[in-house]
Amino acid sequence: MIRLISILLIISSQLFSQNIYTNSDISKTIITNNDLKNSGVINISDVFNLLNNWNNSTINGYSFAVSPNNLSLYQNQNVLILIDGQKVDLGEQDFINLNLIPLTIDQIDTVEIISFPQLNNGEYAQNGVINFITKKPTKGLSFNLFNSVGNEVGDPGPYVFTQERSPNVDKLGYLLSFNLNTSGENWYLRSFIKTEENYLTDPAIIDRINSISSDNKSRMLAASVILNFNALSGNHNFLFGYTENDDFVFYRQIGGEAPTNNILKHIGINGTFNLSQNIDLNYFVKNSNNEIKNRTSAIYSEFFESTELFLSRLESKYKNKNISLLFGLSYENQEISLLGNNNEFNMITLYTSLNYFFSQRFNYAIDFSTTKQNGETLFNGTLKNFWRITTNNNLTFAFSYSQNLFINNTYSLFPDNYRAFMDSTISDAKSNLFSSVLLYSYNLNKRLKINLSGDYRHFFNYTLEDYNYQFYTLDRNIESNYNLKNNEFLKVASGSVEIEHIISEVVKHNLYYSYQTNFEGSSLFSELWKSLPTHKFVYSINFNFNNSFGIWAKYYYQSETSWSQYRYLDFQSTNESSSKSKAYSTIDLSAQKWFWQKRVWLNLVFKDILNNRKYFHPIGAGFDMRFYLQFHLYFHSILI
Amino acid sequence: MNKPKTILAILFVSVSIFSQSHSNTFDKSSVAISYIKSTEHNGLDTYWNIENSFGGYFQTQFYIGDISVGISHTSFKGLKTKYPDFSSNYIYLSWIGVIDLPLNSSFGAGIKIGSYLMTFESDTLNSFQKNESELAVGPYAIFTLPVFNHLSLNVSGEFITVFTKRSMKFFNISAGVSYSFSTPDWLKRVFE
Repeated sequence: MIRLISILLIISSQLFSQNIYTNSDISKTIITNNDLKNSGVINISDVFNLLNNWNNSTINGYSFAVSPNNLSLYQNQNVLILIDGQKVDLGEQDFINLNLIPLTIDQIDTVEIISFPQLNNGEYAQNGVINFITKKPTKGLSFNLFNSVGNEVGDPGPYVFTQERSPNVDKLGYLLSFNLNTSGENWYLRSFIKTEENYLTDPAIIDRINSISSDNKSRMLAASVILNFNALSGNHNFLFGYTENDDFVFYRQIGGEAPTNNILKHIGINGTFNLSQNIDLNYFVKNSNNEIKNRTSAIYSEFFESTELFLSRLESKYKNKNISLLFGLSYENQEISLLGNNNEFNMITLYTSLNYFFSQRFNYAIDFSTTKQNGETLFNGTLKNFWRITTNNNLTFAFSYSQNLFINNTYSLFPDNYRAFMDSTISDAKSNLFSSVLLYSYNLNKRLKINLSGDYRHFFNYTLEDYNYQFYTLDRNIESNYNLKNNEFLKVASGSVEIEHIISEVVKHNLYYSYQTNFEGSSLFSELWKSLPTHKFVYSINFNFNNSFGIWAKYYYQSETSWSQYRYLDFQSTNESSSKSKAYSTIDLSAQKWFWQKRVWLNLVFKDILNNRKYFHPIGAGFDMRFYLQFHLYFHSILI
Repeated sequence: MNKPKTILAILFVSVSIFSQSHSNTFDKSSVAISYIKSTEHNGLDTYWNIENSFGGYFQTQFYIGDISVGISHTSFKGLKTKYPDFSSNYIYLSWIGVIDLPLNSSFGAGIKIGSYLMTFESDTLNSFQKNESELAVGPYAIFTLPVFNHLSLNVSGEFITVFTKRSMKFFNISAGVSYSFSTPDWLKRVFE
């Protein structure tokens, strides 16, 4: 295989010359560090709230189930998450807790988000990509400190001593981090540590938690070391990450939380060798371990699971002014241990992509990958076309076809699901997704940009989990019954409009609206799809005075959603909870100010100033107005 | 109680519109202390009496209007032994738009936002139960009359909502003195 790649590279390198490379990712969003700060992002998981075309749902406010650009349900979370191009494994059942990443916003330079199936960093990402690109430190020694505290309104205050007493509500987001960096001519070193603590006191989940744990606090400790250096005609990036999280992870299969101690270890190196002016050789090797066991406060002991993941990748990229050609091969080995049962999977993927810059106006790109796993062969491909109609008008259209195995679609290895996991007729069932997008963008004087997008999805041969939860009012416990159903399908169409307008150097604003509907599908898929909102409207405005003081405000609206898994919840909870999440609006405010010649940055954040209690999940916590204060201290380039 | 709240809100909006932006941001600062007469209007007086209340703040010119940080302290006396005495410290950040009036006097209206910290005095409570904090927000207006060199007299009124489950709603009237001065360079560098 390697010989074949070498031959192809030699042939292609002789066909073309000159050097230019243009990024051809579509449905790509870039969030800069300034964007993160302006919009009052504190926890990394707040990034989800900045992605207009991603839907999300949360039970505890920290772990999210997401639907990126209508590419998935809230089941089957397999978003590709990267730090500097290195895939990280944050498997926390079928939720994504981005806060487990051993970074804070201070270390992040940009976040790249891709919302259309395509090849990215050697992996065909069917359900979106989030790539955290870390900052390069300034020369010499630098460090920074970050502290945030938050609270949710609705505490009893002095009334706790009267007959009008009410339960305490969550103290939020205590976060403390320290970051020490040093940098030379051709290298830099980043070291980082953070700790986070949260009290879970919301009535919707505290009763469930009290019955399984003697402690209602979640605690996290995370550390990372990044070493980047130039050597051997290339650049190389080493990442070590460690996260330990005592938390309450929600398991769909039991319908409630489990008191878990989750330890994530990651060690990896990726980089590039510049073989010639036109040819780069990229590589990536990593080993990670994701271990979930009972936390010490657990009242009963039930489970232990661990996933050891080894991943290696080698790819070669040829580029000139007309073409960019990439060939790659990756190998992945997973060792999964669950309640004493061990299993091992191997996956080999061969992939290629070709970007062809036909003219100043036309640009074409093709991605293709094939994966051999469990004796099955999977095919994925994307065709992208870019047409610059005039200087101000651009049209993009793309198609993708992707396949996936059920076992890749889920982290659900809990005992009941484990039977399915061991049953090859289910675990090897191939799900298929056809996606297409038509994107028109109009730019006027760099001050006004209008994006119109129309998307189509056809999901077929999906295996879905069909739940039917029973709710017990007394202790708020939930019992689950569920089946796996094969051959599920759905067709979805959606459209969106986004207007970005820079009014002046001080003021810019952004408007987004999207509509989606499903028009043909199996009954289970159609019912589950109702958990995603049909209408969504977002308006944000940002004032920036003198690059020192800023105010940001966002209005968010989403239409009603319905959760068929909880169809008996209204009745069984005597209308205390509901299977429907009502349409809601929120207004968030953030005010930020630099002090001491940009050495100190303070940010005051108010979320949901309308203060109407809302639920993002039928059995999740209710959220009222929350407020946070974050303090950042920076010292750059000392001791040069 | 909605009437003063509405009046303060109207004043806040009108003064914000007419307030001028500063080209000399942070040039002038002032410190002030005041005695506060506080009343509560959402039922807290069924359980507690409000006793002494006083406060102080530091204020400086901002890009538009003035900005200040301050603290107000209030003591509460339980009407029965089962309602423990408590004290509150309202640590706030405020912004006011300012318009100049005759006799070098000025009128400002704006908003205060802060954390309302409560400490309960009871031996039976643990440290977690003894302390409580909650968000507090409200409109605010102040009249300033210079009387002697850098000294001024201040009279202000404010409405504070503390977002406890059953909210606490205070109406405060205060009178005090302030001392204004040119902001030292080292302090301006901290603000910039």
